[in-house]
Amino acid sequence: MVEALLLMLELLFVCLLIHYVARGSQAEGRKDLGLFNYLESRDDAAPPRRRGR
Amino acid sequence: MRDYMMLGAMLFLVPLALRNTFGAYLLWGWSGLMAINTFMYGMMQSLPYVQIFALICLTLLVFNRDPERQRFESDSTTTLFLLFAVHAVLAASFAYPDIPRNWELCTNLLKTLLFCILMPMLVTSRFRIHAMLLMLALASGFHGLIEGLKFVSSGGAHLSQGNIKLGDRNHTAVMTVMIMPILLYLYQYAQNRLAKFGYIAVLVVNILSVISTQSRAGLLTLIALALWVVFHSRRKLAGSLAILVVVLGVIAVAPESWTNRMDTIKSADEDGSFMGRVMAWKRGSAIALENPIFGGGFHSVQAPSIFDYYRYKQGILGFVETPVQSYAAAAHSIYFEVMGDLGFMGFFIFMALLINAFITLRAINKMAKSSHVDVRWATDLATLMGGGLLAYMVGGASISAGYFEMPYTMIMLMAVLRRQVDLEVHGPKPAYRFRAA
Repeated sequence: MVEALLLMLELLFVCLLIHYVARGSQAEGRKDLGLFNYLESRDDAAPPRRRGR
Repeated sequence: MRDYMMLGAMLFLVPLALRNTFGAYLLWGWSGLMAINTFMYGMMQSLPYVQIFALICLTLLVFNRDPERQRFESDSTTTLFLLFAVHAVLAASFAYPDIPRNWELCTNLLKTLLFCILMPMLVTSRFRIHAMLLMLALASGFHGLIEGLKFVSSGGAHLSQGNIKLGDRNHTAVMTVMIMPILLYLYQYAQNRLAKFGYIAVLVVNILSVISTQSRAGLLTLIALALWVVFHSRRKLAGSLAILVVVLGVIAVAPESWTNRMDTIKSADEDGSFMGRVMAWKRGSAIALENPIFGGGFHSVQAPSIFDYYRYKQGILGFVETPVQSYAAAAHSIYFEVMGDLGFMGFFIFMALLINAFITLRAINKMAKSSHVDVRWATDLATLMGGGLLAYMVGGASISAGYFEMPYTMIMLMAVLRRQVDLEVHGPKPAYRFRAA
């Protein structure tokens, strides 16, 4: 039962990925993988630094 | 129920694949690595998923339906892939007679090589590289996820037996370790917090699945990967601490049978299972010595028809004392498998493919260092994929996985990454600039 549920999730994620890829390939400049999107640089993940007083 | 789910997914995926060449390419790779048929039990079990998506992708490629497609350009990696493909066909043609799976394995390898050779034409941007990584993680990570969760739910009692497509538990363990660097990269570069959590959770469950196989090759592969990751980490202390936590976690959850099994690594020379492997290595190298150019053919080492002839041959391992093997066992090593199947010539091309991947990794790092453009994502990915290939080289020393898709895919992805870094650092090539102008 759990295996079937995981398989369902797997298929759902694959469908999502292919949907995002198809959308990203068709629309120029819309390179968005939605839930699977990536950071341009790892520095983007860091919280913004406090500015000096 | 599974079959209806799959039917529903196919009704959604096939039209998408028909509209998008790269989508079809991803589905081709996913259906092969995932071995989706092995999870079906009814009407959808016999559907040739890989062939369907491969055919769609190749047809769309022929009709040039992908606007981002690049023309085929040869480099050292593609040249080696083509050489290996030609050599494989010649080896299968000149093989010993009556080798049951000779042409079946040769055809499977050719399909894998074709998939990889097309990669530089279709994986042409960072967006596509990332999608490719997601496909690999979804396909290969799934096996580890299933087995790891069974291990957790059984309180550590579940003994994973592997997957029909991937092979026994040793094969599954090594292939699971190979996907871990990709999961780690996806975790590091995920934008969405939920996705980030998902990647790290799957990674941890995959580690547990390797424990559930009780494979010694799996443990050694895991150690090799951990050392590689720590050695190349920018924060070595934090990396070492993370590894220490994982090791302590493994010791805490692993059953006693696992610890007893791993203890036998120390006394490998007295272990019947290990000595059986050495006997198979002797036969593999003996076949190569008698057929140095084309070898004996695919999996000739385990063909009963030629077993009697090579039974007492020592090959290049005559200095190791072993008893005589009583049955035609598998090669039990990627090196001796390729050596026996494809001869020394095939073995050298295979080794050149692996070494070339590390040369490409070095070139990527060198290009990144000499440039002001921030391509750290690419150096991070290349380094982690290097770890995946090292895992394959270590774990592969005792399993017959010379023709598995994953290492070839990683080798070609490394070459694709180099092209991408070259593009980001140096800009488009002059021909394209001229065309754009």
